[in-house]
Amino acid sequence: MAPKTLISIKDMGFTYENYIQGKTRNKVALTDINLDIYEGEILLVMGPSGCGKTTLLRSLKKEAAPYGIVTGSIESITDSSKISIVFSNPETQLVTTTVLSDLALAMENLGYDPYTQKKRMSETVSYFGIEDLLHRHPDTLSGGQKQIVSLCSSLMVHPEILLLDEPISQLDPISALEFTDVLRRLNEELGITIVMTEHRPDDVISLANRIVYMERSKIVFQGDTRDVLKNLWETDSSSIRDFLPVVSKCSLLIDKDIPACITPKELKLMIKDYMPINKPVLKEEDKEKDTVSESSEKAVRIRELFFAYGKEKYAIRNLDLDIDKGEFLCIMGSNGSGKSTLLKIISGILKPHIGKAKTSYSKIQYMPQDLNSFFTEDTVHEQMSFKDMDEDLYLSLTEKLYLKEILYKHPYDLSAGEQQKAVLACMLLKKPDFIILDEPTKSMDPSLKRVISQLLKQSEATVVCATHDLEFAANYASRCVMLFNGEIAYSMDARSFFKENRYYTTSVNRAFNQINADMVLYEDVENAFGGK
Amino acid sequence: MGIHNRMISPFYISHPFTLFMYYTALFSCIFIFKNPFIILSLFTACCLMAMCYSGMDKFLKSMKWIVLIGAAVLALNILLVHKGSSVMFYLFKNPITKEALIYGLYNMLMLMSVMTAFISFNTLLDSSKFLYLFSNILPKTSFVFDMALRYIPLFKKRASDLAAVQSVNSGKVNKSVREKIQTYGIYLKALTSWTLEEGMDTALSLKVKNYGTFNKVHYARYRYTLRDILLLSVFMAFTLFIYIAAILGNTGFTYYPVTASVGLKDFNLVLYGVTVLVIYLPFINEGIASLKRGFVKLWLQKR
Repeated sequence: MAPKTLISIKDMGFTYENYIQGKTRNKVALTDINLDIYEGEILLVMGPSGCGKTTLLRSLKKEAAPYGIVTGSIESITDSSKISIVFSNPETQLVTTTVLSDLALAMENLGYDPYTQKKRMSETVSYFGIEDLLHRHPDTLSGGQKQIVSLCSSLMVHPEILLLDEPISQLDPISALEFTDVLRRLNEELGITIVMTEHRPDDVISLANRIVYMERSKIVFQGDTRDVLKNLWETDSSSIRDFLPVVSKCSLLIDKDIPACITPKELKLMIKDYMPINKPVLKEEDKEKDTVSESSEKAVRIRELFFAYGKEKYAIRNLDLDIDKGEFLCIMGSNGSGKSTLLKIISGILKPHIGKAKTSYSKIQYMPQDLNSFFTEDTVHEQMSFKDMDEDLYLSLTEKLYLKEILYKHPYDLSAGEQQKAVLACMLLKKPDFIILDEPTKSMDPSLKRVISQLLKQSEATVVCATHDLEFAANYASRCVMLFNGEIAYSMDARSFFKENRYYTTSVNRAFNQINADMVLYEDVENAFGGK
Repeated sequence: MGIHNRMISPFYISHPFTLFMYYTALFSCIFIFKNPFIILSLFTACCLMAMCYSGMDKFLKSMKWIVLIGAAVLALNILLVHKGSSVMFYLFKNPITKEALIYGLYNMLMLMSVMTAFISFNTLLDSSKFLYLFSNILPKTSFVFDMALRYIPLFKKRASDLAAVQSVNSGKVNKSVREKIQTYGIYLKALTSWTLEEGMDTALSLKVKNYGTFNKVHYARYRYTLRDILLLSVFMAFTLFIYIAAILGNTGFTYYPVTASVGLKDFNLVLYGVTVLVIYLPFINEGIASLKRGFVKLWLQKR
């Protein structure tokens, strides 16, 4: 039996009406959209930032629909009150002082009677196991917990369709996995139809039944997950291929005639039949790194450092760390292991309680996790420019980071990825010799990560970066340290770090480590299997 | 006891309205009774409540200021009021009287009682319980108030984050006063736009949760127990009782020109007895509960 169509979109177009300085400057966001959403499916809408994903998603719910000119039609057999939507920023979705009141909000607004309220609250909270969060203040929750609370709150009205706008883009990978597990349960156990947008598909690809790939306000591909992945691979354009999850990319590179893999397990089973053609060779830079001598000059020297926020426990305890001048150090570790605290101590925002942190840099730039605290001006251009600025550098950064389009926009109007670009440009313009980055790649396209790592390298500054992004660290860091329980558990050059790790490692290494192939990155697979 | 045990305390888990009525009774007593002896008993009760429910740490921290303000009130009354018949000595040709001292003590205790009572009030009737009281009458106002309560600390945290990031990145250490004012202006501007920008997202998230489409109700979080109703009626009857007593003129006390005797007689003695009984009721409640717990423990051990 063919699945029931819940929403059917025919020849839809959408244009934002903008009036800038008295002139109409309309922006087309969607054209020729034809899409059916079937009952019980998980539909993933992918595409680069600004391709119209969010506009499409929001158009599906009447209350959330953006203002503008709509053409074509959206036919829905589901009542709008049975469609719930969760946005990407967990901060703006929790508005009261306790989790309980936030969970109850949707029901209170709809005027449910006390019995129904209590019934739904108790069953939903028990189903998700978040009872111990109920009386906590939203500010004490992690990003992942906040997002789960927002999701639960929207589930109180028993929706049939759940719309999620980049729900995991601002979460660290561990929280992202927790969140996707919840989505899987909702779909498999309750049959809720889920439509979600995401531009970092690695974590959600295994959930999706179908994929829609959009580019420049149009749907380019739509269909079953593996078919679309193959279509994307066959475009032969590296910028489009970057949207493929790493495991799918590897499997399609090795053999494009079989269906694309979507989990490391599938890749692991698949590669047993294929032997690498070339042995991966150690890159030249890697060899150089190995020869870095012990005596090189230190930018930071930390000895026996202790730091605590409250009276209960030390966030950092007995930590020793040396950072060489010119190195790219990645600090890895789980949530709450003290990464951000350590960065704040290095930057001088926090002072150590016990121990010493000696620093010898002349100009420092710090990128906070919440980028809104970086911006103070009205446009990106104003934020970037200052007296005695290097004009040539300004022009080259604008070009390399594709900032031209956003130069005269307000920083808050940018997408998260664009904000990160703008912040990096501002930082590099100051020509610092020490750069601190706190989660710099959360919502970045893969191609952009390559650009920023090149720019960071060119600046010749010492870079210290706290990140959850394993692929980024494996690709670009010179050294990685693992922060665990407030101290440095171990420190290694980036390649050995991921090579030796069994769980906390790149998906390529997870798939390949049992056949003893020295593969950590997609590039290694490309080398070995005779890619370009 | 203190802050860690308060969750299993029977008075702490009372219905917000019962708690509210207790504090109505307590504050009424503090303002109505003029007898220094009764005020001293009330002040002791307020201190015990603060220690018991808010914890020793919080109590001592707040007491530093409360004692300071109390002492100032006492000193001012002694130095500025020259009424009264028994002069103790002259200071710069001004008489310092015994009556002014006693009235100053009364004033000090009254003020300190009010402030000390607020320490435990904030713990027992925290913002969510307090809002719950008004949510049935003014659901929307109490909701907006709750949002504001969430927002104020968030704004403070963001202001300090912003200032920290900006000071690291600007790299300037010594700023002139003019520069400092300029920077603060810029911070304020940035924080305001941040708030407004986020306000739009919040508005959207409220809209998709159907805010404003129906009459808002409030999630029924608390239920009256028999004990709640019992305590509530005691507190209500008592409040009524002391107001009647006040109207009938039984709660006053003469300070000037000659201080009356502090001793309590006849009806005043009854009034005092009832007041102490009601105001110390939470402790009686706690006492009974802990005795019960003790007996249950003993009983379990014997088995």
